[in-house]
Amino acid sequence: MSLTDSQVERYSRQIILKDVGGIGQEKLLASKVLIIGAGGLGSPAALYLAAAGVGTIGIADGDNVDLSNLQRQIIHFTGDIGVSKAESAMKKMQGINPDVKVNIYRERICADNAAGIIQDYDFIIDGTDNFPAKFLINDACVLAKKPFSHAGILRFDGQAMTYTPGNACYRCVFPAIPPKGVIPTCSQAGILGPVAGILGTIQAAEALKYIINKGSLLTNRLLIMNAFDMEFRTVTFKRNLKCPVCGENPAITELTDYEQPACDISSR
Amino acid sequence: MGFYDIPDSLEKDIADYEALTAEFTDGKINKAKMKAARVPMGVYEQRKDGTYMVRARIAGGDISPLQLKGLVAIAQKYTSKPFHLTTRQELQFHDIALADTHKIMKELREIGLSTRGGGGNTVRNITGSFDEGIDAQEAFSVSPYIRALTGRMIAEPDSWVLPRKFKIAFSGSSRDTALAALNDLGFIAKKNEKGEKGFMVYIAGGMGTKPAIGTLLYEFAPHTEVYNITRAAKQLFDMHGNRKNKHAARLRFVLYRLGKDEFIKLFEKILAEVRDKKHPVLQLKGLKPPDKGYVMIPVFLGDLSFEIAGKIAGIAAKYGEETIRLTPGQNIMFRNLPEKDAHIISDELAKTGVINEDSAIFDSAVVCAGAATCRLGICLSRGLIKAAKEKWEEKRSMLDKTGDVIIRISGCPNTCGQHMIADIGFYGAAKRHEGRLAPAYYVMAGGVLGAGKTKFARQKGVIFARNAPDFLLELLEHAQGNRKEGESFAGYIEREGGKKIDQLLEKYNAPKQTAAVDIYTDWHAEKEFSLADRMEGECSAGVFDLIDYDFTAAENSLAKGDAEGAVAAASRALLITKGLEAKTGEEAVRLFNENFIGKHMPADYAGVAADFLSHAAISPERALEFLKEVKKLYNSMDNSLRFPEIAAAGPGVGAEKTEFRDFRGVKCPMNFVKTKLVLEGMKAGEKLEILLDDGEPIENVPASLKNEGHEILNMDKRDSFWSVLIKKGG
Ligand code: SF4
Ligand SMILES: [Zn+2]
Repeated sequence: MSLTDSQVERYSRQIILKDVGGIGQEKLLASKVLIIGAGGLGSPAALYLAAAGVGTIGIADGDNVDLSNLQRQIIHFTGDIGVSKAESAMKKMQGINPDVKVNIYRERICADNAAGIIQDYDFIIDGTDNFPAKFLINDACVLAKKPFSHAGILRFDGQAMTYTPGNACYRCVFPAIPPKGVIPTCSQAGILGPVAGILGTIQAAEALKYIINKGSLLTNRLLIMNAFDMEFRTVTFKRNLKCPVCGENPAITELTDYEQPACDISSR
Repeated sequence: MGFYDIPDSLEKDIADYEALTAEFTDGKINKAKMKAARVPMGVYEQRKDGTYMVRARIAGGDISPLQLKGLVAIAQKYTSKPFHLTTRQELQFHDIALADTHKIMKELREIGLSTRGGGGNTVRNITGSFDEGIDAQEAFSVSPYIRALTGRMIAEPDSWVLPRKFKIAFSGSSRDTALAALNDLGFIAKKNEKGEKGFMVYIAGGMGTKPAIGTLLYEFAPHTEVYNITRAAKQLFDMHGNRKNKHAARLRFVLYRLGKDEFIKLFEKILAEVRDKKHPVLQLKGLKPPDKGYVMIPVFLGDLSFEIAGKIAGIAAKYGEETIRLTPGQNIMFRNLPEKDAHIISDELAKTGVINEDSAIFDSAVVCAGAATCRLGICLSRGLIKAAKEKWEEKRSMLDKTGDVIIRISGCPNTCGQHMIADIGFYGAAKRHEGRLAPAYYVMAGGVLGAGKTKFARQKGVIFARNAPDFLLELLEHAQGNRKEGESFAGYIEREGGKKIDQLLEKYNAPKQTAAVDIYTDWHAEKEFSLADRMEGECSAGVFDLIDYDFTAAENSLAKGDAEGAVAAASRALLITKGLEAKTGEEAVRLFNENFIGKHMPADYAGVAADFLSHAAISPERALEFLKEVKKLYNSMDNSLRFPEIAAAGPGVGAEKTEFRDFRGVKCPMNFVKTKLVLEGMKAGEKLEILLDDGEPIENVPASLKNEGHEILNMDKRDSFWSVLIKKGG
């Protein structure tokens, strides 16, 4: 057993879980998770994954912390305003758990860098807030056969699903980017902070379950929640054989940047 | 009013203890829990059920006349038994009712004494050289250090929860009269070239089952480091001591395990951390240099009557506060007296019957409690010295040239009587004579004390207890006549005494001699010697000795081609662990067959027993295999002298290896987490034994393990904790 005494103590409450144990904990310590976007979704995801002892965490964000972020992006503090979000997130993760190695990418994800960044990771969390980035991440992960967790949030609503190779992808449900203006962005419509927290936390749980290979993931299911009436439901769906990226005759075979603010992963 | 500071926490400790005794009396808590609480408070149960001994901590053996008077007043209220002085310079009350023990604690507290740490796995009474101020080689007085360190140690909660007892001693000079080199931590005062005060420091020494002279840690450590070094040693022990096996738990076993270099490296690391904490140095209360006059008051067997104690207190009061010291020789030193008055006082003490010069060699002998009161005892050590003194009183032979000789007697191989460093020493054992057990002593001789030259006494042979007093007198008479002027006793032993001992042993072990005495009855014993009534499961070094003795006998029989003899001896070996005793070989095989074969040892071996009992021939090969199997069984024995049952493992399968972890002191849920991690590394069906504390741990952990699909084979309450046997689920 390679866990040290202090590790055993630190992770005791999850080692106790029948489905985790020392074996699961060692898997976590050996795992690598990439979080794209250190915003409303990425903040809780990063904190929980670091706390759980995910051995390597990548965090990609090209923006700096802004005063308007602090209402929901809980990994950043007032003193961090103006600092790179990736760096700010790294500091907090290392503060929680020195076991964790953090890689930072102070850049926006785009067609040129996506494949290179994700290739080193076992699981990817999409914490972005705009459609072009979400579609790009989906396509990059499908092409590279990487599992990832998708989540989207708006006002009081949130949704999440998990892709693993062989199962339905985001494009199977949403084949193409909606035209600009059809769906408002958070900056236009607003967002309740805890909704970001709930969804980002769900993403972290999906990543942990995937790594220890236990439980049922949100594959082929879309979890839809509404915090206003506080309702959760899941909608099941199937892989679309005509899907432009994961279907039998995919149209998309390489990455391109999509329209609607082009190549922007900033998470407001 | 005492010489060391009593921590405020003592009051609460006593109150807690009092509450527990009340609960115990009401039957609300069990014996084991009571024991766990009382032993660290210095309260032991005597061999006679329901009577207790209370041990007061006397730092460096120093008490004031007023305290001694107070002690007498307290004792008279609760017992008629005299005080007993120990080799750790403590003072004990005997024959106390449990309900009175807390009252004694309270009254002791009022006169500045504590019983906390009088026993159990704690920092024990800190001892010091008795000859302070008299020893010409003394570097400086060590008692201020003993008192300050005592005050510090007894205020620190971690002093009470160590893996085993932890003993500290201070000597004033390299003569090491406090046996610093034989303590867990020993300080020997010394000054360096610049005249600065410091200590030579020894660590991990000790007597007990595997005696060892301490390892020299520092040639010279500045005196300001005493606290840091002690703190570090205690911490190291706390973290690395073996909490499972109490027979291999003392600090020296950590040293054996790690090796000297690793051990010292570890110590240095911990010491550096301790230094970082910047603990205040010990606050020494200055003492004025003592006057050199003294009178040694021999206390026969360390039993101090209230009358004599009262007289001593009365006379001492005239000479000041710092005049009474209990010595490691279980005597009283009346000290710090004007030199010119010493002989006047001595005469006065002789007149009032406090001192009897003639019998000093017996009165000053160091003798442990022995089997009369100690549950581990084999022989009645006190009976032996009494018998020797009685024999001498009949003969009144001149022994004045042996006045400095120290006789030391232990009732069993444990070294409470310090036989390892005796001029002449004895330790109790049981020896077979014509198939029966008789009380006997191993004879030791020629021990030497002193920094860097401490030498253990050599074991010279064994003698039946019944012959030991005559043997001792004859040896002393020989020494009286043959020891050269100024020759040390060890020197005499080396030159001539050793040979004399061999001769005498031969003489007293001759069949004619053993036939002439009632060798089965120990001195001052009420009945014939037997180990059968000893508590089952009580573990004494003496038991191991006996077992080894039988195995050797079995091997010798085999070597002589006596297969039956080997089977008989092998069968006999382990009987004692169940409190059984066989008078004949046949009985041994029968008892072994009934109690072990099929239960702890595969049923296949019943055939050997049956053949033995029906006088059918047994081949040497079968006897050897039988012996090997019994030895294997012996190796699987645990600390409580118990053996794994074979039933659980299925018929015909021998005892298989069981993993073991000690999770005592580990809180919920960490104990479960750690157990779970161990199980993960094992295969389904394998077994794990864990130790858990009583209370929450035993209530939670087994249930959680069951939830995870493991099987609980056995839960067994030991002292204050539980042993749980787990079979890993699939
Ligand atoms: S030496 Fe043995 S008999 Fe004597 S007190 Fe110690 S344990 Fe008991
Ligand atoms: Zn798809």
